[in-house]
Amino acid sequence: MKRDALDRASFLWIAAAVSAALLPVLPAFPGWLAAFLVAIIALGIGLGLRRRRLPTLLRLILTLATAVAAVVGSGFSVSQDTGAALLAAMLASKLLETGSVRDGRSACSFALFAVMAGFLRDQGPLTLFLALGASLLVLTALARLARIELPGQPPAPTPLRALTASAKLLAISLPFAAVTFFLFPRFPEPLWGSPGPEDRARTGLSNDMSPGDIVEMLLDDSPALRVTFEGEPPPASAMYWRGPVLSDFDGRRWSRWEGDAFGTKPEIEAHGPTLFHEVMQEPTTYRYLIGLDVPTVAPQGSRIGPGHTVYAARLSRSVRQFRIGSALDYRLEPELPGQQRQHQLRLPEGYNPQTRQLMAQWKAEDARPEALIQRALALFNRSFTYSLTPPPLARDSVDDFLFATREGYCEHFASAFAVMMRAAGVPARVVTGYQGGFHNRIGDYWLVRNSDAHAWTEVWLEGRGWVRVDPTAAVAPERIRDGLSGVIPPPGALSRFGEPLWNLVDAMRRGWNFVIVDFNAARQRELLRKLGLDMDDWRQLGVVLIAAIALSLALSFALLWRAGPGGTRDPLLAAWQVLCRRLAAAGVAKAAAETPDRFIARAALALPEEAAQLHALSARYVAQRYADGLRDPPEIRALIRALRQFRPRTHAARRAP
Amino acid sequence: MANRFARARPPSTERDALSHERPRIPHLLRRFVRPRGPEPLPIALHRRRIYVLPTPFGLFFAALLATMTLGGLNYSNNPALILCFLMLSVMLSALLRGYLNLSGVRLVSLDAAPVHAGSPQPLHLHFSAEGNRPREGLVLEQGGRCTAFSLATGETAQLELARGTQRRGLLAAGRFKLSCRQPLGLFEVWSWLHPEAAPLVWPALEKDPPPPPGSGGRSRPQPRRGDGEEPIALRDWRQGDSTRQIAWKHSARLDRLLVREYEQPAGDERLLSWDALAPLDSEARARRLARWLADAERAGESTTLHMPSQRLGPAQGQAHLHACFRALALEP
Repeated sequence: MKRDALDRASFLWIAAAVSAALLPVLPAFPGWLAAFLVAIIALGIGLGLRRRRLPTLLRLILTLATAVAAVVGSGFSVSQDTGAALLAAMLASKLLETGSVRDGRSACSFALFAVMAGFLRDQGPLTLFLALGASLLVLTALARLARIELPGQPPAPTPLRALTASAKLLAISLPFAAVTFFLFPRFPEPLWGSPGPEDRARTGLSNDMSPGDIVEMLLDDSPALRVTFEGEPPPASAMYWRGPVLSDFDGRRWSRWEGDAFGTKPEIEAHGPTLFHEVMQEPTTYRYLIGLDVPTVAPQGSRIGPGHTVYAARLSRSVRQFRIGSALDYRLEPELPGQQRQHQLRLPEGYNPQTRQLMAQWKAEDARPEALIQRALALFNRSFTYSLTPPPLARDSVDDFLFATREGYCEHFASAFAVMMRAAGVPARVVTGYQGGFHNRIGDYWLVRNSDAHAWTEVWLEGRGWVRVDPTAAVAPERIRDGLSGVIPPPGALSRFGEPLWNLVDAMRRGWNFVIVDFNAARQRELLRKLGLDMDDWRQLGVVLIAAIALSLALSFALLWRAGPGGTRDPLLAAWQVLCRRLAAAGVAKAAAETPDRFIARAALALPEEAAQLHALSARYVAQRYADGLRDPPEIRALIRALRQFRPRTHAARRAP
Repeated sequence: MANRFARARPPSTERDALSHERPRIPHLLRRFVRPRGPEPLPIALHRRRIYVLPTPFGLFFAALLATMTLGGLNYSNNPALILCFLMLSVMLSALLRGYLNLSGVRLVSLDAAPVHAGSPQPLHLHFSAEGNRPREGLVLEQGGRCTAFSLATGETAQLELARGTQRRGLLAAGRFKLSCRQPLGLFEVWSWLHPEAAPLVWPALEKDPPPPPGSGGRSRPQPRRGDGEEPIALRDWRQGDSTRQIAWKHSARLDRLLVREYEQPAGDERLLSWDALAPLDSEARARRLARWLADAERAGESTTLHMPSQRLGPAQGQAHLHACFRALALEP
């Protein structure tokens, strides 16, 4: 066998590292692709264990097929997802050709790279945990490779010992890693490739809405916002979280009005104090920042844009954290200029004739906007039902909804209500966002889930500006009062017994987001400021950085000094060392260069009572330890026990005349 | 890289071994490489003479981590950064551990039993370690030969590393490389050991020497049964043995040629002199004399060796033979 060739155990370690690295990425792929990759890995492991290799041509074909599958599986897009899929595919097929130490090392390195790719998707603690597990396996595999490279191939430690040794190395490296993590300068702006919206269809409110869009979100229980109030929070039924405002209607789809110029801040008169709150917003594909309706103080690095929604300066893939101020009592745009007003009344020609006719009739009967609103809400309340599974709507969606199906959820009601108001000559628009929240007592914050996504309307009233009207509340008040769980029964036991646990888990997740995921340049600056350091004084910063790094390195060094390399600790040797320590305590210390024979002879002289036993132990020890290949396991176990049980009854010095 | 231990250079003399190592160190740098020359035993390794460089794999790994860190910083992906910094930190720990593995190791003694030039000489090196930690995966290397060993806490290690010998005399042990790539193969930590020890190498035995002087005129005794001279041993046939000495029956039984050795009468003495071989150069003289001495010893003859500076014998036996070999080895 070539020295460079991998033995079976090393191959298994590498295969384990590769599989563990792929574990967090696989769920992201379509099922068939994940299954294909698993099959390739299984094939690689099977062949590797039999120490067989596929013919080069076949291997090439399989590798190419895997790559093609990865590209197809990620929908041919040029994105990080495709990159991750390709990396996973290459890593999986790498096992097919891992036959030498060199191959093993590159497989391990790329496994580490795949672990990083996993973080592009999810930055949760579970992913980090899996990643740490994979890294542990990678390190163990590397240690194993370094060992089999030794001439003469000394015996390898047991798997458990090998893992413990790597875990120790990891643990010893923690202080330095922590210092670097918190002190290493961050980029305030990305150097390249700000993530684009085309990258991934994440859940999140989008910039448009057509009937049926939101329902997917309504069934998604994952968190959207976590909010801590700096003051008395409003009741949950009054918690409207403002997202994108949609005022363009094409007969079916509501979308943001492109004519809404960015930067022209709508006028607002706030009454009462500003309610500040700290929001942690889960990653979305868009730039909006969600705040309590209606935001008046925009967080740093963002501004209040069209429709009085807050927009961040750039897209971000990660959790956002910001402090935002809102007014609960306000007058929004008390004056609506002509062009704006025109726009907010626009309806596409040739759509929903029945609705228009109805509204014309209503308007003729009582043209006051308040009366029209009341009448519409009363209509909804009387003869409409709330349902998450309404029948699909025809081309004239509002007509179909109002006169035929008569069931739907927030989207349908908001859309229909806004169209009705516009048809009656009242400016109206759709606001998307979230409604309600769940108080987590453990963390004292409010959790807003994606299933709390909501759409409501705003109508513009003379002298009062934009007024929020939530037609869904007229149909299903419990939806507004209790959140979605008031409408759909929650899955039994979870809410009763699981809730405190769930609260705890979510609170921990929030802490994780706060400490780890959202640690950015600004937070770093803040942290340093709290430590009395100025980011701009690079000299001071440099000194502190170097000092911190030196300190943590010194700590690692001391730990390493104490711990030793771990690895192969021969239990027999350990037992022998116990005996030596006991003899040292009894006044006979072993000199470094003394052989066991000579040392025991000396000890026996110093401790005559023990002489017979010592000689016997020493003879057995020498026979077992230095007799390569003639080791006798049961005898070794017995000897280890005997060595450990030996206790000198006398002390050499006290005996000395 | 993976094949570095398989570098199977033919074993060579000390001079060859060094010329094989030297080109790796540029001339200017050599002034700074410790040790600068042979040094007395014991040799303890300390920070001033321990060198560390990343292995090619270590460089690759570092580059990979740097790329990942840059990516993590760019996308401000903190969990990814945690992993990167942790791995970078593990790299540093591996470096420190490699250094600690070597630091405090002592070469206590080096000795070797003399051998005839041309055959490999096993050098015995005795290592111990200071401090209270075990050392793992140390590799001792010289002239393409290497051996791995570990030192458990408080233990010592006795290694054997053969070296090639082509010349007689006191051959300096030369420079050894004690290195370690543990724990992860990312860094190579090494130190040069250049002990002063110079184990003895005897002259080679000449292959087909002419018969020694004094036996030239004397014919070999006839093998006659019942006579005083009894064959006492059989040995393999060598070139130059007369066909009459061959023990045909025994040879046929064992399928190889055997010749009879005869008991020499006591007091049968051979005088061998360095100066008598004057036309030959000293190497050839040493080889021939060594061979004659070895043959005489095997034949149970008592020998006297005349060297320019001393006279050994007449005597017989291993001690005498070794003293003679030593004298021959050291004769300039």
